[in-house]
Amino acid sequence: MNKVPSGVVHFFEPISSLRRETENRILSLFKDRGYQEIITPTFVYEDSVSEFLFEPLKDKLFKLIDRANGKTMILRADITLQITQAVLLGDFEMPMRVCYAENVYRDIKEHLGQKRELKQVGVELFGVKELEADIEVVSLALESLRLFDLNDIYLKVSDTSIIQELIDKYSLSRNDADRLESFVYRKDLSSIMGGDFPDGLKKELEELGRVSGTVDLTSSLDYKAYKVASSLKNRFSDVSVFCDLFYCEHPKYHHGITFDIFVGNRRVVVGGRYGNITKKLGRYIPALGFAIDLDELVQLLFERSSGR
Amino acid sequence: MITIALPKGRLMDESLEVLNRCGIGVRVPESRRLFFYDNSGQYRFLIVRAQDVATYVEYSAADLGIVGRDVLVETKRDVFELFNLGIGYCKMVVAGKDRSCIYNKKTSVKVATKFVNIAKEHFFRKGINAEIIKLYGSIELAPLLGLSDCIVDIVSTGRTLKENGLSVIEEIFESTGILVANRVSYYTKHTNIKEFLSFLK
Repeated sequence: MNKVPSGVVHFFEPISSLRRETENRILSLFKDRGYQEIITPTFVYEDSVSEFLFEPLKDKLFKLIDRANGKTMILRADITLQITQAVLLGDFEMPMRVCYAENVYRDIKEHLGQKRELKQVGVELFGVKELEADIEVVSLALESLRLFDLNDIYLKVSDTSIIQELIDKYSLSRNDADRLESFVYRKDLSSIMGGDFPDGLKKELEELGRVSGTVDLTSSLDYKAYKVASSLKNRFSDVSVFCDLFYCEHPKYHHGITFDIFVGNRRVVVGGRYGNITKKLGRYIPALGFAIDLDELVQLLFERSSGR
Repeated sequence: MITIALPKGRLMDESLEVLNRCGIGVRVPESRRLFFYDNSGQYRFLIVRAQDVATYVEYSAADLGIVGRDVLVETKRDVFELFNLGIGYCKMVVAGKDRSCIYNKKTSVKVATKFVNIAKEHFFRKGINAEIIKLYGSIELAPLLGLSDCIVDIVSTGRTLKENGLSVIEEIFESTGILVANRVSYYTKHTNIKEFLSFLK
């Protein structure tokens, strides 16, 4: 009997064609905008990536053994890291724009209902630290969704350095900083206000929560995230833009501006800056990008086209 | 419209009380229907098992939910914890006949509990080798019959412990009802959620 492992799926018509077309349309938009496609190997040696991988991915790797030398290999779990390593290896001219459409493999527990093989379509932009790069990349993400006549697009922009700067300003111990980050990650203001953090810090955090919200262009705030958010609202007036200043990732992945794009109740795009990774890899290059979750997007398009 | 998952049981009664006090008129249907609306028709409420509230919210079957911190810590759901409602107070504790049932053992400690993850993590952090025995109820019986050395469970008044000859050995954390939100709805339905939150505050 042909048993299919949990977390992987077959696609039949019309979804298979829809998926192929969606991927192609997005990729050709990326190429029109000067992003060159890169194709990376499906498996890599574990020891060349494990140190740099996003912490939660480390225990979700599919592992194989290279019979030639007994070394452990893993199925690609993160495309961005692979591309970044390839870019650092070569001697490319900056700024460098690349795009990709590839599967990632994550050995996730079955009951969570998530896929173990998923396809991401995205871009990476290396070598520009100015805000115009953030605006370029987020715009490209919004434009790629616009290809599909979606009229309920929500963009969220935040900046992980806001909380980082507060942690430095109030010289929190490592333990307190970790607690604070986990509270902010969960938007748990109650625990922060009831906790033993400095009063000034509590006040600033409360204020960050208060001023976060939908961008309407009548006010202005002196934050990078707000500048990016309002500039995008200007360009894409039909998109609802949310600027979230009371925001943190825990554990951390991005470093600087980060964004998500939602359509309906699905998270379709995740992106942001990750210069911390190039730094960790030995040569700092400003870097940012995003990934479109092709499975989510195609499922959404399919449901809408079939009127479900 | 926003959808709010409510937990069956004690926390449900207290949640409804809070909602009515805040001017959101709700009455649980007498039929067996598992959802109902408030008087204004602005909010839809779901009646689900306490352990399932955060699951409904994480997978966006509900935008908001009310759930005890005990369940939230145990199930580790990825949701926003917007507001501590302060209702349904209880404590997560380790209980047993006396301290020696943990601290005088020459081998691993057997722990009976409904909260497998919390128990595991608690003893792991203390560096104690624990064997967890998952039970679904009447946890207090386990140490009396030698099924386990101690239990990890929630207590509110401590009466059940006392009547079964057990006492609290250590507290793990305090638990109250939390208003949780889906990580996408929080942004896409922010105006409605903010308004709901302002009623509660």
